[in-house]
Amino acid sequence: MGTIKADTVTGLADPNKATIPNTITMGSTTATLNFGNTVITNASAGSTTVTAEGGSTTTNLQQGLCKVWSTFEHDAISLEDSLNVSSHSNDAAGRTTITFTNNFSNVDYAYCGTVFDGQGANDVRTIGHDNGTDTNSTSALKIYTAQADGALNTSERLFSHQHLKFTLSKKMEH
Amino acid sequence: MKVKVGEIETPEFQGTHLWNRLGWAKENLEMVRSQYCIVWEDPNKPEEPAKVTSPDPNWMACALQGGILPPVSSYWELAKDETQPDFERHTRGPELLHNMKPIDAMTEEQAIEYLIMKDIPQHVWRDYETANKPRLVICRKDQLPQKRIWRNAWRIKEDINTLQEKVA
Repeated sequence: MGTIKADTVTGLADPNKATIPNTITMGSTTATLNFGNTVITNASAGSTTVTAEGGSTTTNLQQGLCKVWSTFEHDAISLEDSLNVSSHSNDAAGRTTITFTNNFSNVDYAYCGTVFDGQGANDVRTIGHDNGTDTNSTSALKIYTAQADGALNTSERLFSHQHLKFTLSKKMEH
Repeated sequence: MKVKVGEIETPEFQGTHLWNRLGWAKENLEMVRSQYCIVWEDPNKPEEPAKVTSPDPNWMACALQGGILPPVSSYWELAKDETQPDFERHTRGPELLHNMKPIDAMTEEQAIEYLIMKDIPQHVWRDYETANKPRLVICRKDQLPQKRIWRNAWRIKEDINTLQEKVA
């Protein structure tokens, strides 16, 4: 295997375009790639940062990525779209279990969600996790939705058009 | 552009992180919305209503396409690790998920059975045939009650024996 030393590499037909088939390996553990003024740095295995807006701070790609998301209609068990979800379980009125295809490495992941209002921008809903009875695991998340008075939904009318969009962000290391 | 299941060849994914496989599937495969769901009751929680588990359409596309998902036994092993008293984080992911040979394409029925073994607690399905009342039923979604007023009273019919009946 030889070594090419040059300050600049250009394309042959078009000096602004060059094609490298398949795989480029940069560095061993640490490497830096400059896309114009944006710097992508790999400091160690599983730690890649990208220059953030403003040009001074950086964002960690692995920690900052959403690992699971899902949009579904709870009562109709209508699953609209998702990433990294294998199933939804309608456990009871207002209660759902979302099971993942690629598990998290531990249970210390964060999640957030929102509810689609039928109409009028006046529905008050809470999305929560019952720490007393519902144990989250690396493979599944259990949540409930409640209305303004705290009661879980027992009326089809209240939640017939409910959409829950969840994003979970956590290092998915394994 | 996405294609239907079976219209594209799955790359050789053994050794590829499951996350990247799911990304490939999401980019290339159309969703498959199953008409089937699993109605089940937890014998350890008899006071709770019947639960309804539905396969995710992106996951179902992976199952029907083949060459993407790991064997269901991998998830059993991960669950076993998690029950250990000294569990802090999974370490067997590469061995169980990413380097294991992916399973071949399944039929929809096989995919539902895989999902039962993956996502429903083992104590529900392992000996369900020996239970004294039905605790797990695979049915079409239109066989479920269409109104949710009494959702928390749903139970599997004890004398259920036909696909034409409502199941709860």
